[in-house]
Amino acid sequence: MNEKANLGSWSITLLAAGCLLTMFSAAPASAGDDVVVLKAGVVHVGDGRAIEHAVVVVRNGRIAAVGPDVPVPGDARVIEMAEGSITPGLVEANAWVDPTDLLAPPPADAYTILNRFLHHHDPGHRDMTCCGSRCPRAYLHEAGKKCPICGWPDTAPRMAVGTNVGRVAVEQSSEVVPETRVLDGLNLRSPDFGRLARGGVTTAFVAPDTAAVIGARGAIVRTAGPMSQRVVREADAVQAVMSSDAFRRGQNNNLPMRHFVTFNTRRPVSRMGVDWVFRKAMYDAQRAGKGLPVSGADTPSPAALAALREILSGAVPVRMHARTQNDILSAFRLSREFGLPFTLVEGTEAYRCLDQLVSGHVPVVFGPIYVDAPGYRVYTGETDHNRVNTFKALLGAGVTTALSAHELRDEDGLARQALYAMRSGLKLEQVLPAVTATPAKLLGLGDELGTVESGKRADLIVWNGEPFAATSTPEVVMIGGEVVVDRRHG
Amino acid sequence: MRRLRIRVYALAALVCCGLPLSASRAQSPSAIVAGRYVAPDGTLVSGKAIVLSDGRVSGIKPGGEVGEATGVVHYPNAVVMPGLIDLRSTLGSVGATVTSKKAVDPDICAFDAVDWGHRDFAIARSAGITTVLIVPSPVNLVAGRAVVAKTVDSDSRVLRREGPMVLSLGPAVWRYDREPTSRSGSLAMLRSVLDAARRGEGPPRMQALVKGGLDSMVYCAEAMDVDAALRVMADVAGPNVLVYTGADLDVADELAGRGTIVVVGPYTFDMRPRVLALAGALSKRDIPVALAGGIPEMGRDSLRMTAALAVRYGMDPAAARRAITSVAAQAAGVAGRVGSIAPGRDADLVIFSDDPLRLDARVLAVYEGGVRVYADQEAMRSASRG
Amino acid sequence: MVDNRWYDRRALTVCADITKRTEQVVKIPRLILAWTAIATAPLFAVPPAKIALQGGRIIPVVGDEIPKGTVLIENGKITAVGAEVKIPYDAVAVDVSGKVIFPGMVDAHFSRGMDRANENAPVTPFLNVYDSIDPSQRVFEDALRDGMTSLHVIQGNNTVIGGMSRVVHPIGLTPEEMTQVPNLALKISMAPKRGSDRMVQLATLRETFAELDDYLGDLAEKKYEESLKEKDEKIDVGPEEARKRGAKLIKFEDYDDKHANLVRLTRGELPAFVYCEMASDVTRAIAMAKKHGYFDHMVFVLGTHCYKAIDELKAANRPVVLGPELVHRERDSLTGELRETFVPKVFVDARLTFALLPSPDTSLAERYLNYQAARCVRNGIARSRALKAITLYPAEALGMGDRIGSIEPGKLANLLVLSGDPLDFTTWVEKSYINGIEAYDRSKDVRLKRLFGKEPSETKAKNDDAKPDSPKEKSEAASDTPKGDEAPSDEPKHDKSKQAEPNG
Repeated sequence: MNEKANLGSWSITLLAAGCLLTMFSAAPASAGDDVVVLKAGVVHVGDGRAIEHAVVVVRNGRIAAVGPDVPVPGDARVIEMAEGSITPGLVEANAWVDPTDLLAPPPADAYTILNRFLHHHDPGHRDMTCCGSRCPRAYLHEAGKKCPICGWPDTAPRMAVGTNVGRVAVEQSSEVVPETRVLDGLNLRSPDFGRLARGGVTTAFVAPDTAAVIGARGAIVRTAGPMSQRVVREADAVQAVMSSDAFRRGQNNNLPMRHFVTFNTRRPVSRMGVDWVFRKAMYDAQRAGKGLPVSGADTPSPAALAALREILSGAVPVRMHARTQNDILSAFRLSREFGLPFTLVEGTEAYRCLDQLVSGHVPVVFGPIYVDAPGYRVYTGETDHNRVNTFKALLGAGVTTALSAHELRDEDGLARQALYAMRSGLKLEQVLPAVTATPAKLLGLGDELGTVESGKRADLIVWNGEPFAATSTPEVVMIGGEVVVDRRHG
Repeated sequence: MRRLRIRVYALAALVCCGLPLSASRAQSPSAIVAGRYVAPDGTLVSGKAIVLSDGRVSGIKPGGEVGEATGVVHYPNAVVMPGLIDLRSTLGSVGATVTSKKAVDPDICAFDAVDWGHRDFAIARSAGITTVLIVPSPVNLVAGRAVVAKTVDSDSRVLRREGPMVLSLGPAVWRYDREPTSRSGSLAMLRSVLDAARRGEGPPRMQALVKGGLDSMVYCAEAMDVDAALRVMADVAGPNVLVYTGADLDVADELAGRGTIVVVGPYTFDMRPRVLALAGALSKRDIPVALAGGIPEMGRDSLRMTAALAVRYGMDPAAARRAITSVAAQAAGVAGRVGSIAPGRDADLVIFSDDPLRLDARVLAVYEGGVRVYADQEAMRSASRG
Repeated sequence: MVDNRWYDRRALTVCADITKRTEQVVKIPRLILAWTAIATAPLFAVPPAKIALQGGRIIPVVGDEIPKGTVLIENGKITAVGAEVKIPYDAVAVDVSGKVIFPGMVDAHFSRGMDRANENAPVTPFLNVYDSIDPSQRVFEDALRDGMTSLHVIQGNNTVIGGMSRVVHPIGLTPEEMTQVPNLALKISMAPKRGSDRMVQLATLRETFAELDDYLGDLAEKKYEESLKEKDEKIDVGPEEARKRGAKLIKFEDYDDKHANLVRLTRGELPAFVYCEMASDVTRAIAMAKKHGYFDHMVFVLGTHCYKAIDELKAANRPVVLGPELVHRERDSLTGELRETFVPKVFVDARLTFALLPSPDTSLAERYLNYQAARCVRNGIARSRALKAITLYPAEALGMGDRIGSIEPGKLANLLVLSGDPLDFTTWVEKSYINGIEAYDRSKDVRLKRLFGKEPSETKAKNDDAKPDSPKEKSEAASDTPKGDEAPSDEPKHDKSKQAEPNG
């Protein structure tokens, strides 16, 4: 730790102490103030600094003070973990969330029965197995009975299955749907958010399923807390998909799933097609902006054109999902062609494009880190050149990198991704910012979240040991000063 | 002989004339006195007489005042209830209201699909259902207009020809062959339609909807559809009525204090307890709850079964009785005509052998517009035997 | 293929009598010279018979940890462990300062490494995993890399009565080379075979034993008849008496393949690994085992739901192997609340020991057995108990608790040299010793190198598996090995200038 950091932490302490002295010397916390005090062995600020034996004072949902000698108001609640540590709440920069309540049995309700009478199909999205693929026995799933093949509904998915649900999470009537919003298709009550929160993730950018070339605009939400405060931003960046997911995901593409010719059969089936769809959409938007007529196949709808023009003007940030070097370079090409700065998502082979990423100032939301590819990725064939130290290479080259677990949860969630990063040779001080301060900045929330500093929101985790260690748990997770996860009492 | 024949004919004629007279006394009583009646607040009140005149209820009097006057019909030990109202019905139009070509089709009208002479109407009457809301199938984003009609066979049975506008959110709306195919697509489409309507563009009925000239009934498959409906329609009038039968009881937090009526049901015995608890949970937060039965697809007695299950899982009995009468009438937009036993309302009444929330209560008689349209003589005899 | 380029090929042969009758024991392994294809490889004449691992932190699993000490290996066995150990003059001293010496981990129920884990027929006690083990499967290489030194290869759960299992080392070119203990136990499953249900499963089990009785009765009668024929006498007793007399005449060779193992099972001569998916299966498993004579040698393999039968398991007091899924989840139908139970904690609270298993899904963190132990510690289980659950307790479940599972004098030298504490997930396996011979060295691990970006040029990368080592490559690789406890560093300064990329 260099002197500057020390100076920083000391000045914070002095400032905090000074403020507190003036505030507290006169009277105790005023009635109505909700004050919580967190104490632990060490506070990891999130920007590389660590403060020993620090106390964090939270007032009305904000961090009021951080430091080793901060006076504690007498009537405050105290959360103490002497052998533990405090970190900022984790910020998941690219969550693929199970949009439906997978774990609940399907409503065997009259609405469904009525619909059956009225000749409607049954949505099959609830029949996913834990690895995201459809259970072969899906059509025999019955409420109240456990499936012997996939364990539905008791199987807790290791991975959120929004990634394979296709048309539930992304509009499929066109490959270009930037006018749609992930929030509209998001079930904020999904137990997936509970899993995220229990894993220490407090804020998440929920991205759409990678099934559309230009997909919906993501939503930034908090993972727990009162419903009225869950949504941070209704419509954020739009996700464009350069990887093979764009042409591989539609279940209705492949015979014999295709029942009859629908617009789904038009979707691209190759990378050439994907690039062409992107280009056509942007060209059409440019033409529409100039008042020129647009025509031809796959013309975006008027609403989509309007949204595309917003993207071209820079009002809506762009993310590009790509794994292979080829697709990453595609992203660069298209970005240059239309003057669209972008953020790279997943980037399995980003280590082969380090120069371009650095010179192009492209931030990367990297993840997940793995030895053997989890879930459906194995079938894409794009993970053959995966390396376990890509994240380290990105950090080493100076690329702004946030670490993400995408759809992985529980033992493989974001906290574990941080642990995998440390396993590949990084230190906690290098990894922690990549799951807190850096993603917060990438989401434009750097002033509010991401570090344990006075003035920011009290989104915090109290660990019962070293953060991310295999033997530690996030014992207490706090969002906006409210404790949403508390494992301390049994 | 000829004189005898004439006398016989005259006697027969008199009897024939007299019969309707006596029958009409039972058919169109001037008052009904029963053991108890269901007051507008849903409670059971005893010792009252319901005075009828001209097909309407003209007043409630203490039972003693009416006594044995002519035209008074007595149902001792019975319970008089406003005619039941089923808000999710496809009477006379089973299978005929499904159309999914266009996702936004406000010009569709369920009225056009109903076969008014269908025998299901008689079955509904025998179940005590006097008014139904027949909906266009909620398989489109904007599915069309429902029709509110009475089950009695009469020319004036239609109460609202172009009833609430039905919108639908949830998987039923998604298709392979047209957009939308997802929730986000549905809501993007809904938003653009509502925006256009606010600007004065698009179908006139949608414009009427956003200005408050047409009430809306939004079908929600899951709690997130409820959230979405409230969010997207926040800037326009409504939604007036939400239809939701799910397990997320915390939708009550968003609905409390808004005045939106929630239609819950149908309920069946095999549903999860959490779903069955929804009606009671909402009602406890003072959210107006109406219950729906789904006649004829869900069976003849589904509406009462729904009410009974709702009470079993926590709904206040008075609220449950209101839910199938007055609140249901409010949801259908016909509360001024039907749904409660109060002066000025249509005399649509059901005579039950006991509290209608009891599954063993039977329908003894049904009156619509003051005229008896159904009577179960067997049941009446055994009921009067007590 | 277990990569034969980065360790000298040595055959680990079991010199034991492989017959149906006797319990197999590993005799002293023969050390055979093996040379790589290009003969100028550095010469190791004979692998060192005596090795002293010096200066490391020793976690013996039994007894206290030794902060800095020595483990002495002689002729494949551990002969001394301690802070101060007298080292013979001819022992090879290996400096492991800064590292941790830990017993090789034991997988007590490994249904991989075979082409298929189960057969279609429900009752197959005559099968043997020996016929199915495929040493070339990558899963063995992964097991070695992840710190496993003994794997109990056994049929999966999709059966009623499976075949015979085998304990192997994750190293060797043939099943014989890999074998540590042949023909260890029979597999039985109480959970229904796929496509079936519990009634059929139990009925099949009962039928099998009933049929066995019939078979034994018939065999006895036949033997008696034969004996009388030899003496040219006539049968003069009833069938029951004939059977009684004939039973004494049966020799083990008389049993046919189909029944031999079942006979041993019912005589209590053969252990059975019994899989129970639900708590009710446990009850039935115990009843069936007691009735048919194998209760005293049964080992439970449990699904998460079985924690609800903890009282019966405790009363049974048989070894327990817990499935890799350690959390039992149930959703309350009324409140919608999810209830999660950490299953090992229930066992610890009931003071019942158990063995842990790694997850077969290699994309998850639970594939590492030491990570499973760390999860236990995270959920409040004592460190020593968790470490035993991945070493000593699985060894005991296999009946090998006297030979492996801890670092104690007299036990086989199946050891790991770790870069750090086993419960620290940033720890890697640096070296692995099996029977006192170095079986794995991370600095020479090709696949790991590639994962860390030390891959050779593209074309070579595709043909990696086929190419043998050259001496030049080998020495470069050796010099490339990072010393100390760092992970192999990634490719560093993105140096465009031509550098000899390390091969190997």
